[in-house]
Amino acid sequence: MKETKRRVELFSFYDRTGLEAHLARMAGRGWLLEKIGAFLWTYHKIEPRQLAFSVCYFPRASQFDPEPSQEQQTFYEFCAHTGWTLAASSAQLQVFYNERPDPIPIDTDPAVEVEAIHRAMKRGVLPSQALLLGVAVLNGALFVTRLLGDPIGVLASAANLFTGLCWVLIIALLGVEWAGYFSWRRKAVRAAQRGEFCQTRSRRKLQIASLVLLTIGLAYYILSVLSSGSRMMVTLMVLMFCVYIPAVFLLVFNIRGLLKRLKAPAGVNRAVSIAASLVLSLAILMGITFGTFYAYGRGWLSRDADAAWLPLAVDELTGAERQDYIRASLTDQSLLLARFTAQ
Amino acid sequence: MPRAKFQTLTEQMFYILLCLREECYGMDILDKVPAITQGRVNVGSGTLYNLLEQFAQAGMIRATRVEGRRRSYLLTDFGRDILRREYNRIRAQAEDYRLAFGEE
Repeated sequence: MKETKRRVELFSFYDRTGLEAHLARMAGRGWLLEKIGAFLWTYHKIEPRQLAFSVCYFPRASQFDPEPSQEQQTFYEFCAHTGWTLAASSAQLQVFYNERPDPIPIDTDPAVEVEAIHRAMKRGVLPSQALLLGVAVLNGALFVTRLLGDPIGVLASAANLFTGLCWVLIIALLGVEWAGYFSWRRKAVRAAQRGEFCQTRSRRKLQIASLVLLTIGLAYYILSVLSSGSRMMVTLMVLMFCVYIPAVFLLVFNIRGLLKRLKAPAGVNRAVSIAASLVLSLAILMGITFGTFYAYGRGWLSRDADAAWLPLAVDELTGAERQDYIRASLTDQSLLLARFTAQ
Repeated sequence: MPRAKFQTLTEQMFYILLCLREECYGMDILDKVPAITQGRVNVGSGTLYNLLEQFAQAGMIRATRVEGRRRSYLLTDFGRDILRREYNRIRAQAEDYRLAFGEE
């Protein structure tokens, strides 16, 4: 019998209504939240029962804190006094459960709650989302510029179409996320003036649809590369998805975790983690690029040139064998177009 | 129009400040407020924690003693002024009601 369960949870950071309802449903099925990871949430098996959940926000907490601060622990003690037990936390997000029937909520003043959520959003989520949105808009604009300048090259490339899809999805998701948050905040501030709480709205269906679309795009990209027969493209793709992305995430998360275990101050951990992520991602990317082009230059990755595609060469006229140039045929193919290049 | 901070007090703010007319540990307020109001008003732990922080920042209360993580607070003169202003506001409302409907 499985004692733990790991799930991908698609909730907005501020969606406390959706999260509380979901966690109560999980407890009713016998699963209690234990840990909030970067990608997966861990639950452990319990006797199925009705538990009340409260999702609240501690704005000064950080994912780089070596342990909960004294203030945070005082906050936990306040919550424990009214029967709330901490289930899990991640940076500013704090999840409590209560076994008492009809417990006193942790947040009883809507204005105070809205302010705490906004402070947590400003400190934790909005800056990183703004940065990602900026990068996505920049890349989206580059994609459109390339599309206008070289429509055949872009539309015939599965890689270009896939990355274009990624940036469009990121812009759409973040746009919806920001519009949703600021719309909720405006309503919540008005409701708080009347002394009322304002429920948050889940956007799980949109997030699931985006994830499905992304998976289809990725599958299509992988199949296109595999069917292209280009050993260089296949090697680059394998290195990118099996080495580069997992290596960067693993190294950065492990560095952050190690510094937390060593009780490094949050500022030091943040600085080292950001520096490590930049240096490592650049170093690994350079290594992969250099290695691939080196191998390609040596002919280890090039496909046997297809004589039918290639232009006439000097050695075919003279009969003398020449080894000082590379002959290659390249195929770019997507759902929309195919382009064949011989050189 | 948004209400200026602490221009008027919510019921929970009023009772938290009222509890702090005498030195009191923050956590004890969670029990004192329902006791004073016969269970009519409850203050949530998160709300209390945040309000104590905001009151201290506004100079309405001050920390008097720190024992480990336990911290006790006391109302300041400024906090007392705000509490008195709120009391006068509520009394004026009650008086207006009395004038309108008489003693019931």
